[in-house]
Amino acid sequence: MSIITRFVHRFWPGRLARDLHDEVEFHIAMRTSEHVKGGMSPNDAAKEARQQFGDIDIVVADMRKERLASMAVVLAVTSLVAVGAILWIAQQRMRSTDMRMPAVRAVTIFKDPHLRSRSSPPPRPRPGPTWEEFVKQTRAFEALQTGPGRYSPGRVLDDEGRLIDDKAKSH
Amino acid sequence: MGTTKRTDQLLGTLDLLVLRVLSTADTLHGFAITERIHAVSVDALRIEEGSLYPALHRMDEAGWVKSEWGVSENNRRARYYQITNAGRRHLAHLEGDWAKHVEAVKRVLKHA
Repeated sequence: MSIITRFVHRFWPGRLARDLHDEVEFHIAMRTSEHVKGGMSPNDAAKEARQQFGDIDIVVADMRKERLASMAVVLAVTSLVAVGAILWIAQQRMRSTDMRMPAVRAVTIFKDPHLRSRSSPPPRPRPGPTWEEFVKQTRAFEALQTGPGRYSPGRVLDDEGRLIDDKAKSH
Repeated sequence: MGTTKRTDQLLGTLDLLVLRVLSTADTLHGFAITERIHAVSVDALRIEEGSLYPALHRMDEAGWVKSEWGVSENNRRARYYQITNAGRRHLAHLEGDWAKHVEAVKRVLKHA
């Protein structure tokens, strides 16, 4: 039985009941014709066939129970797959935007180390120099400008405009 | 009374008998299955007709048989059953269990 037929039976119970009754009635008709071939009258044959089969309503109810019991499992599994698919599609669509639902964002952050680092708090700014360090750095800078070596961006020159390194080489 | 005894012997073996009969045919409807079991067992086994159909539907849901509607030899609408690969594997399992069961009973009858 195809999955489509199962869903039709689940959501259209009348169709399932008719199918089950048709199947049972076919069996009884075949048994009746066998009895007629054996010499019974049609009425007696039909009566005997029904008696031989048993309580039709109970049998049909048992058949129906077998069908719908497994359908509940099919529906549960199908629902889980559908919910999973919807969540996956939502996650794919929201990945390109900042409007993430908290649950989906949590899943995304867990799986993506880049996003996990983005979600961490920003690093604390480094503290500035202490007053003593500031004074020391300022004096060192003034010494470069006023001392034997003058300060020039990227180079330190002596009074004659030569690089201190070059002067050291000449001595 | 005699019929009751015969059907009692079949408790627990209905799946085995039905799958075995279906494994030897292409497709069969429920009535043909009962008649085939009756004929092959030379009137020794007659399954309860009312219990056959719930069993067939249970096996259909389990995937051991598949069914579809067709037209019978007398032009009536009938549901035909066919064994599946899963059904053949289950049949092999059931036949193994049945052989062990028979062997155990034989041993008890011989040595007890």
